[in-house]
Amino acid sequence: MVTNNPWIWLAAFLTLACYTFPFGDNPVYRFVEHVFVGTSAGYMVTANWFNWIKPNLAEIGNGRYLLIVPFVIGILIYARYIKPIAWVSRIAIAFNLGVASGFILAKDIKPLFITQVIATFQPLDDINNILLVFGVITSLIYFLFTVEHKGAVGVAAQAGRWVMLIALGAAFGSTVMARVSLFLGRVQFLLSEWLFIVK
Amino acid sequence: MRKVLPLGITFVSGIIVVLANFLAPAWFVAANREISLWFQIVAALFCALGVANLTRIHSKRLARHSEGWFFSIVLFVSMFGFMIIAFSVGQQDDLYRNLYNNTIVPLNATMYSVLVFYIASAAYRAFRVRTLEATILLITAAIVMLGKAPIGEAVFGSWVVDATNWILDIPNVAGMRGIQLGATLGGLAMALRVLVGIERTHFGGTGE
Amino acid sequence: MPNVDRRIIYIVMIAAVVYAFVNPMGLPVTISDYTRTAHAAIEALPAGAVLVLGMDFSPGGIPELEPAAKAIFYQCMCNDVKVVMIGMWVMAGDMGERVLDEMAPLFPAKVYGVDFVNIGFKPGNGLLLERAADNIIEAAVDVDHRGLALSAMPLFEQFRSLREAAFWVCLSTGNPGVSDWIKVIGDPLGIPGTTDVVSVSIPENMPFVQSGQLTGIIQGMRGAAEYELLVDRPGRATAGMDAQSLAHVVILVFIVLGNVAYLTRKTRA
Repeated sequence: MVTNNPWIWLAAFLTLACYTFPFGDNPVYRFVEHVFVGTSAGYMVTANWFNWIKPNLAEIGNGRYLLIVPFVIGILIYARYIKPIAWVSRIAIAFNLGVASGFILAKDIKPLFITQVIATFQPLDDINNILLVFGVITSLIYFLFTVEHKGAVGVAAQAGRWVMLIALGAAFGSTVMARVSLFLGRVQFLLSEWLFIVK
Repeated sequence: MRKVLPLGITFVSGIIVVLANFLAPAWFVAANREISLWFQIVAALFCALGVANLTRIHSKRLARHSEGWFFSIVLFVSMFGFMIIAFSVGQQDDLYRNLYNNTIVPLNATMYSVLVFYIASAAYRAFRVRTLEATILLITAAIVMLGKAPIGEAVFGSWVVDATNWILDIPNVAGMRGIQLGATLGGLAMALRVLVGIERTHFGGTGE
Repeated sequence: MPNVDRRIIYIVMIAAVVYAFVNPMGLPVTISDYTRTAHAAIEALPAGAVLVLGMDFSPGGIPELEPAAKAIFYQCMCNDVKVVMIGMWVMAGDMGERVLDEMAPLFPAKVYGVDFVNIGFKPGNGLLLERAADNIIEAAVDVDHRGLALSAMPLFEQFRSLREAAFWVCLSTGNPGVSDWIKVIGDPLGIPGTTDVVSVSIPENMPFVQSGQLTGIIQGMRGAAEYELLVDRPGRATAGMDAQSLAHVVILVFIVLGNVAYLTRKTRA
């Protein structure tokens, strides 16, 4: 027994069409690939329009005329398609990059650096704490390229390398888990919502 | 003008954000608030860059009847068709919701999940324990994979879960913290370089 | 051992997963301390408190994050904790509607705009959160994902900014995500929070758990399954655990077989 919902049939077709790619490039996959790219690009526009652009245009209509400035700056990005004035698009990039850079400088230092360093200072009365502190220090030494990795520094860098290997091993195992989970989600959809084989 | 104006805008907009977080004059904080809103509006207006670029590239492909031109038509129909429907009926309409849930969601989710096949293939063909380092990496990955799936504990006992948690809590935190501290410092240095105009690659090379 | 055609490997993987779904093994899912900590923190929230749910993911995160979002929403509604959904990712609003489509009908007495609201996506990444920490209605331009005015909603009569949130949960598939919540809301404002991240992001977020910047962590699909069990509503994530187990075993078997073949060839050579 299968669903009679045409929308679910569409979703199932698109899912199975994507899964033809590992077995070899084919026109069906290329078709859904282009549908994916097209709908994603279109979605970006509609989501931004409904959630942000339209309400802010309404704000201009309500008298906040200063908001015309960012609208002009934002539209300048499309000057890149007009060769004689393509340089004008840099203004939009410059503005946003400036704000983003300022935000990083203002916000990142304490939570992402100082707090993390403080959290490394653990009492060395427990083997795990000793390993943690040792691991962080040796990992940092491993990335110290201005000092030659010889003698004590070399040993510490090598130890840091081993710590990093274990961390990367955990990252690799987690990556496998993530991809498997994604695949399971699609199989669940096909078996439960399309074919009604499982609940 | 072409160089100085963008660099000046970067500096002024950035320095307002930085100083507003460390200084308290009301007008500075108000300026920061306004600049943040402007940032959001400008960022939102970048949304059509994808549509613009795709239109430009695929129009050329269609005009020249290049290889795969039929799929360019598919792309245009999908892209503009979705936008027309969304603008016509709105985000709450059943047609939009069905279209979103049954095209964008399955395509988005499935495209990323295809990688599982390559991981399975690489597991057999490429993951070799040629060196001690590779062995340690694989053993760690195997312990994490078994520890995070219920079968690990069912077959091997709770030690595999304890080992997984220990790996994630101690060596993983140590290694990742080392990477993150370095990445944070690198990010701060890059932000400072962009702010003062040393870094200009985002303008297309030399900023000329 | 011969060089196996990759298509056979793919078919074995598909067969194993389908088999596990059709014939579940019923493997027990033990609950980790990380998930218990996150659950306990949300369970301790008083009635009337506001929990902010950061829907910072795209469809790629649905199998691992959506079950946790539903379980957390369920827990909050059971405990009369209000839920405000907001997101830095462009699909945040539609992801929120998917959760509400399934979960809201379970609580007919709960009213949209009074007990929960889906503000949806607003651009700006961390700057959105900063502005929302100042004034959430202004940060959202007084409109939610459904096009309704926030200022007309009773929920926002008391809840004016993210500073007044009792707890935050970031459901994240990458950047922007957890680090933005920590550096704008968690760290400077001292508001506790946790996260459900996709498995690939678990290692990079563990330092935040160790430093106390995250109150526990819900780790991918396994964590979502654990959370479903904690709120006594086993769902998609729990149902996927047997299949995940078998898939992991298949991959590990392939690794072993591949290395046996490699070592055998090496010895013969």
